[in-house]
Amino acid sequence: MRKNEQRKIEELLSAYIDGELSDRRRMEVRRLVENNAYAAALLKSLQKQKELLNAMPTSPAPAGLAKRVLVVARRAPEPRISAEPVPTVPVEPAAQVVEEPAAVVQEPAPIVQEPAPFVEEPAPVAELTVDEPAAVVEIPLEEPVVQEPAPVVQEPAPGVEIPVEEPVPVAETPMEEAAQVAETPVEETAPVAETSIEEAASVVEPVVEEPLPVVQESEPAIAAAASAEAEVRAAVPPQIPIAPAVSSAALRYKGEQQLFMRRILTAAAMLFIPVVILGLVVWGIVGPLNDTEKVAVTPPPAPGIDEPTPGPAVSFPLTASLYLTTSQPMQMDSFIHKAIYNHDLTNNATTVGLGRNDRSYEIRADRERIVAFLSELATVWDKCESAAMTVHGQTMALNARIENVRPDQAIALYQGDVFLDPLQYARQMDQMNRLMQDIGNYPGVPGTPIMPQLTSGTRKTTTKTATVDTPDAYVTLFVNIQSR
Amino acid sequence: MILSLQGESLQEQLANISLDDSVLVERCRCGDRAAAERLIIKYQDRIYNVILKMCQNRDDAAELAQDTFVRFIENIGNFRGGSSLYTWLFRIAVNLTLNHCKRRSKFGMRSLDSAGAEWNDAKAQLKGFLADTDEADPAALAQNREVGEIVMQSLSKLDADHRAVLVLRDIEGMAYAEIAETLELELGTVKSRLSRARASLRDILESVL
Repeated sequence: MRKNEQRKIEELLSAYIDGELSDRRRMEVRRLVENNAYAAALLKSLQKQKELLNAMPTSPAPAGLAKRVLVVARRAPEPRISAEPVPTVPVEPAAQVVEEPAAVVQEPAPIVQEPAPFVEEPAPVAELTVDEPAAVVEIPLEEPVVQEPAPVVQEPAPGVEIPVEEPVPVAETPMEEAAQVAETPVEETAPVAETSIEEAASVVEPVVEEPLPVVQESEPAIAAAASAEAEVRAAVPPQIPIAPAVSSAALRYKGEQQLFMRRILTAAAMLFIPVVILGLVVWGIVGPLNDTEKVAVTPPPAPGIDEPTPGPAVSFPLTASLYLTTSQPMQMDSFIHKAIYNHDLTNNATTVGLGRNDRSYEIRADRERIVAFLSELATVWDKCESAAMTVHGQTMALNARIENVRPDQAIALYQGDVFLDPLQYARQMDQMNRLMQDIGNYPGVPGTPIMPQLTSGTRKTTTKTATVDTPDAYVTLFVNIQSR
Repeated sequence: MILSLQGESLQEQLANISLDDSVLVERCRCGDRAAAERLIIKYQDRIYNVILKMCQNRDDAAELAQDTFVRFIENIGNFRGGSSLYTWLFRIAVNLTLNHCKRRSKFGMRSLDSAGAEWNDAKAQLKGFLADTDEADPAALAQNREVGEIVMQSLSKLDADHRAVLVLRDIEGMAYAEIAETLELELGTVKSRLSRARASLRDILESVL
């Protein structure tokens, strides 16, 4: 058996005893073990070895490990905020820390900087001194101390000016100086915090006198630290909350929250802006036309007739329905077909209703062609037993119907040179038609256009004039042919 | 630090250990040292044992365990929950221990050959067990101090990387995926490395016995 194959088998067997194989692989291994004595022996050996290792006795962690860790962690400098993944402990520094625990202590900077928390926040001094002497360490050694001079200078406490005025030699200050500096704010801050000097000293002293966070700290030292802390805790009045100091971790957490919120808002904006743009595009397509394309008629004073009642200004595309009732719907339909063709309205007309005897067309085109269409339709107007036109308002309630509408009235409406709002015009015409019907005859209304020259309903032989399609300027006419 | 050093007894702390790790981590981030203490108590035995099996020295193991938890507390703000706290802790511990072992290996190891004739019984027992001629209970066998010593010293002869993967799998009982996450390796690498580690240990034990 080649070495490579042997290694493969060993790997397979190793994964087999760990239960990390798929069902198929497991079956393969079972077959292999049944048929191969070497594999069977190897499997047995591996299993035995694993059982033995698994049964190795465990030892409890040394007593007081947690307390020692907390004591050391309290004195150790806090890490700077870093985006690097932490768990990857670099090889060499780790070894240094383990081998040379005193190296941590060789940095006097944290000790000298300790007064800063006392001064920056006079009110909670007691809380800080009790709970977070480690807060001193929040400023790493490499970080320039000058970056935070403002809060220190603003404070009246004189004792703390020393580390502020001499920020550079902070890291190089000998231990004696450090002790002096550390002792100074104790006297200054004690009255502020209403804490006795002994209490404050008990907090400061461990830092000054025992600056070496020895990893293998003895149990008495831990007990002493604990008892000192207990004393301070007992001395602090219960109404003074011992709030956890805002550590760099907490600040980092807040920063992460802000960053998270910023990302959320950015994402929302990125989603919202395209939606708004899309909405505007859709509105531009399906929304109402521009004002310039809408019927907006400012009525001039009507010559010859009474001052009309000014109606509400309409501002929407003119739309009207013409109802022609005839006993010859087929012929009328045929005529309309031809008229649509003659006036180049084939692409603008849609058959919207098809009954056995009824026809409906929707013609949406520019005014000129609609007028021309109506002019041709006027030639067969007499064939209709009745004609009515409804001018559509914005709502059905605003619709205006002209009974017995005449072709010139319809044409005038679409020519746009009526001096009234189309709805008002329609109402006026309706009243007039009713009046004239009662009289039997009427001479025509001044201001209405002259009866257009009727053209033949037959197909034109002249070439069609090319029209420029401007759909935005379209008006709509529904032609409904109703059989009597 | 609120009540870590004198507030609760160990039993009270242990009673609260059922708290979810994420809750404790969150509290730990906010400066609650009691939560940190609970986390340490929860994991200290396992961490210490893994380290001890890897470095074979109780003092070193205690130091490394302490350093592991100190680093854990110092860097708790950087723990983003991408992996479980369990693997994160073990990653710190294993990295520290590997570094330590690699440095210490320069000074050489005590040879098993120096073990005297008093270990002959233990060797015979172990040999019979591994050769499947002795139906001894592995737990009982492992309780034998000399047997345990032989196994541990055989382990210490392994390459540090092999020892780490073997300890995490056969002693700590981690799944392959967890080992891969802890040691930051590919799953296939874990599988092959574990196989080679077992083969090496078998060879070492055969040579010793």
